This record gives sequence, structure tokens and C-alpha cells, in this order.
Amino acid sequence: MGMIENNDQIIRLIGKYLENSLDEAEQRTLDEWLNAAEDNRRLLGELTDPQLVARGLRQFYAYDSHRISQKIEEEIPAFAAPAPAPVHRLHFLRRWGWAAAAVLFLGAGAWYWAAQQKTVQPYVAAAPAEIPPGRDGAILTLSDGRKVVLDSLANGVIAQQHGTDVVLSNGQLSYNDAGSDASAIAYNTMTTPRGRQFRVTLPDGTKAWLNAASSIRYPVAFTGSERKVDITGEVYFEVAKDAFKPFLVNAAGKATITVLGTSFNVNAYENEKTVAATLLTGIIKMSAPTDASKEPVLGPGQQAAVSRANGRIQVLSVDQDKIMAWKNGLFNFEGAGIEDVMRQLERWYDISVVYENGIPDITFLGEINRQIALPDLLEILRRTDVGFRIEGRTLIVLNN
Amino acid sequence: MSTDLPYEDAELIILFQQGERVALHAVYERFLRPLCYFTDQMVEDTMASEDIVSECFIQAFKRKEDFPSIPHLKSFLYTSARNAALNHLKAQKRHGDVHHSLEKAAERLDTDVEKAYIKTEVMQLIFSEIEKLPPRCRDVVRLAVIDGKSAQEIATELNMAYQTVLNQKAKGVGLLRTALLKNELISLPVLIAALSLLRT
Repeated sequence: MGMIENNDQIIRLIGKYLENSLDEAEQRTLDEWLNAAEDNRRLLGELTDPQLVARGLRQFYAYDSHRISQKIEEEIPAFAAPAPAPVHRLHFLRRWGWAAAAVLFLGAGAWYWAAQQKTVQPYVAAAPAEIPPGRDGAILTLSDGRKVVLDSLANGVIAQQHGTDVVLSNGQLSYNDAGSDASAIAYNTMTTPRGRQFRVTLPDGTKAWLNAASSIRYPVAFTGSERKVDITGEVYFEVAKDAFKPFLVNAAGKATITVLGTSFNVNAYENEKTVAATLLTGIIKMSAPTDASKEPVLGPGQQAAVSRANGRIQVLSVDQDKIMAWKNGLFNFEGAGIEDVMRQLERWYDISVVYENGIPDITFLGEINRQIALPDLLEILRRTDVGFRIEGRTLIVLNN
Repeated sequence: MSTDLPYEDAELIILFQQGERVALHAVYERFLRPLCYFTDQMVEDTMASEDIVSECFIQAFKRKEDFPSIPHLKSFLYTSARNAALNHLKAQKRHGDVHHSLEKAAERLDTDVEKAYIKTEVMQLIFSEIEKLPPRCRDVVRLAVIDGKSAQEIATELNMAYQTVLNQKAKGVGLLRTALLKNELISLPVLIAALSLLRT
């Protein structure tokens, strides 16, 4: 329809005019439009008059959505409300634009779209703090104890370690072995604090992704008959193939994972119930000093988990998407209890969580982009029966 | 609207064509208020506008397979609203109870439709910027600008400390500004001016 296409440009220009960000060419176009008709000038006048704009906004809010939707429901059954959905079951759209917060409630065979119902939300007392999501960043500890903050550096060689260049490029670190002198093994440690993630390519070409609050210690050159690294927290590996040098991951001293060339995730956070290795491709073997009789060999999709309580190893089949969500930039809350969810939020948003009146017994579903600010995420989680309050960097969970 | 990402629209229209409730409601939420405002500028009658708009949605939902994209759907909704508004004004005239402003509006209708559309879309930009604010800022802005409340009244209504309201107010303005610049949308000197009236 002409009415729309003909005017989209002028609407955009008026928007930029209000924003004071017109460039010269745009200004000329707008001026031409203004000079074309007295009506045009009057229209712009109305759109820049605070009283009139406020009146227009009042009108926007005043339309009776309830009455209108009832009229539509009478004619369009598919528009009508579904049977009451079970609370606590919510589902996120995979792709997330924070501006168009789309949330799906899943229930009773019907979908409930909370997407743009933002417009009619009641005045809820909500999180005042603007806590942003985590981002890329890490601290590199060199063999001589010097620390390099990788948040703030430009691309390039950031250090030399026993003949090896340490190179930062596009938010990841790598090691260029220029004929290392093998006389002494130097170790580097990369650490991510809460609210940071980082990626490093080890000297053998193995790639490691560190989730928030994690670390990896490795030699700047792998000499000898094995490649051995130590980790804490959560790290995903894509191990470079080398049949003659097995790759060994020591997970927080609780378990060792032996690899030839494969991709897998290790979760060794102190506050999780297990130390768990999940295999995506290839073969890995896990061993734990606390359960020496077992050395399970895993196939893809399997997870070996060492219990922090009794040291026993257990092998499970797991949902790979859920395990790998963090590396793919997502939270996956599929089947997660609130404590599980909150531990993830603590690490990613660098907050601490406190429960008021006990821990709500709910299970979440779905996944969501990790690049969402905390208040926006809480706005979604609040659609369950759980309430939240933020005080500084403490998130208080209210059991309603 | 320019803020909508194409892939979201692409997903939405598919679900819409399939008659998924989620999609019907998403379309409804996106267009409801601007369509009402658009219609209202022509018929100058809130209830009548709401009736017209509900009928537009009903027609669109009945032929949901006909729209290959969100812009097609939008075009249909606005055209239907315009035509229905025009018919409404004609009917008013026929029944002889035309008051002055209606008559004037009917005469001017052809040129007014485009103005009404432009005005609607710019107002929708402002409206959606407010709705995108973090909840507490949004509440303060709504109460301040739309309801014309003072800081004291807002503090009472939202059960916030007075100083917090002033802080939120300042933050709301700052956030608006940042969001607008970032998204190349509009900023609101208007809103800022209105907020600054609320100094005490």
C-alpha cells in the first residue's frame, strides 16, 4: 500500500530528527518534505510538542485491549486463551532479541505467547540494577608470575615464553612455537573470573573454551610423551589429534580424562555435585583416584561423572545440547531446578544468590541467549511463581 | 517497525499462517495500539476505533494464509482500518448526526490518512522505546509522562523512596538515550523535556 511505502522514509527521518542525528543529505530530504506543504510542517510541530506527544502516549495506553481481544475471540477460536497452563513450565525461543522479548509458555497442548505483552504488564516492582551479561575476558598468568589482563589488550604478541610467542587475536589466545627450547617447561595459567569467558588455542593446536569462573594450566610447549593440563570450573576441549601423545585433563584433582583426539566438555565447578566429562566426538577414558576399579571409556553422547560426595564414577547418557549450551552462547535450563539455574547465573552475572523463605520447588525448560541483561532475564523467570529482588549484586529469590 | 529483526518476522509469519495462537497474539500485540491510534485520528471516537480494529484483526486472522510476509499483513491491517474508518464516517453522515469536526475530518480525509499514518508510526517508535526500558524505569516514565504524576506521587504509587524515583527518572532518560543512539532509533528530547518538568 502506498500509504506505508511512501512514508517509511519520512518516518525514519522524523525519528532521526527527534534524535538529532540527521546527516546533511537526510536533513535536505526532510527539509524538502517540510517545504512541500504547510501540513507537513504542522505535523512535525505536533510530534515535537511535549504536551501533544504525552497526550498521544496516553491514548496509546488507554485502548481497551481486553474488550478488543474478547471481540476477536468470539469470531476466531484459535485466538482464545488455552486451558490454564501448568505454572513453572516455560520455554524460551532459541533466538533472542532483547527488544522483542519472546517467551513461550508451554502447556496443555497449547502455546501461550507472552512476547509483546510487555505493553500491558502491571507495574511490578522490579530489579533496579542494570547487571549486564558476562563477556569475553580472562587473566593470563605467565610462568614468571606476571599477570596479563586479556580484557583490554589489542591484537598481537603479548608475551614470549621460552621461545614461544603468545598471540592474542580477536578475543582468543594462541601459542606460536618458534622452535622452543625444551630445557625448561614453563607453565601458563588462564583464569576467567565470574562474568567472563575466554578461548585459548594451546601449543599443540588443541582448542579450549573456558566458561566463567574457570581456569586451565598448561605448558607453553608440550614436551615428553603426554600432553597434560589442569583445569577448574568448566572447560570444553577440541583436542588436536596426536596418536603418540595422549592428552590428559586433570579435573580439579578429582578425575583424569585421557584423550587421543576428540571433543569433550569437563565441568568441575566446586559447587556442583559431580565432576563430569561429556564426550561429543571420539573416545575418552575417565579415571578417578577415589574409584580406581573403574576406568570407563565413553562414546559420544555419554558422560562420566565423579560424585563429590562419595567419589564414585557413574556413566550416563546426556543431552549434548544442554551440556554445550554455554559454549554456544546459551543458557539451557531444560529440566533444571532453581538451584542449578541460580548457580549458572551467579557465575555469569557475578552475583550471589540468597533464598528467602526456602528454595522454590520448580523445574525450568528451554534455552535463552546468554547475552541478556540480568533484569531482562529475571523478567522472564518471574513469569513462574518465583519472585526476585536485587540488592547490589545479590539476587534474592522469593518463594511465593 | 524498523526495530524488528527480519528473522523474527520470518518465523512469525510462518507461525501466523499456521494459525498458531502465539503468532496471532504476537501480531495482535504489535499492531493493536498503533492501529487504534491510526483509526482514532480519523473517526475521533475511541470505542468506534476499537470496534473497527477488532474487525480488521478478525478479517486478517480469517485469511491468514494470504500473507506472505509481515509487511503484507501490516499493509492489509492499515488498509482495512482506513477503509472501515472511511465507511464509518460516511455512515455517520448519512444518519445526519454529523457534528462539525466529523464533517471537517471527512472532507480532509484523503490527505489526513497519510498524516495519521506518519503520526502513528512516530508515536509507535516513542511508545516502543518506553516499553523497552527496564521495568522500574519504564514504570516511572509511564507515570511521569503519561499520567503526569509528580515524583512524590510516583514514590507513593510504586512504594519507592522519593530519591529513588528521581534517580530512576534520570536513569530512564539516560537509558532511553543510549538505547536510541545504539539502535539508530529516535531519542526523545520530548520525553526528556517532560521529565525535566518533574523536578520536584
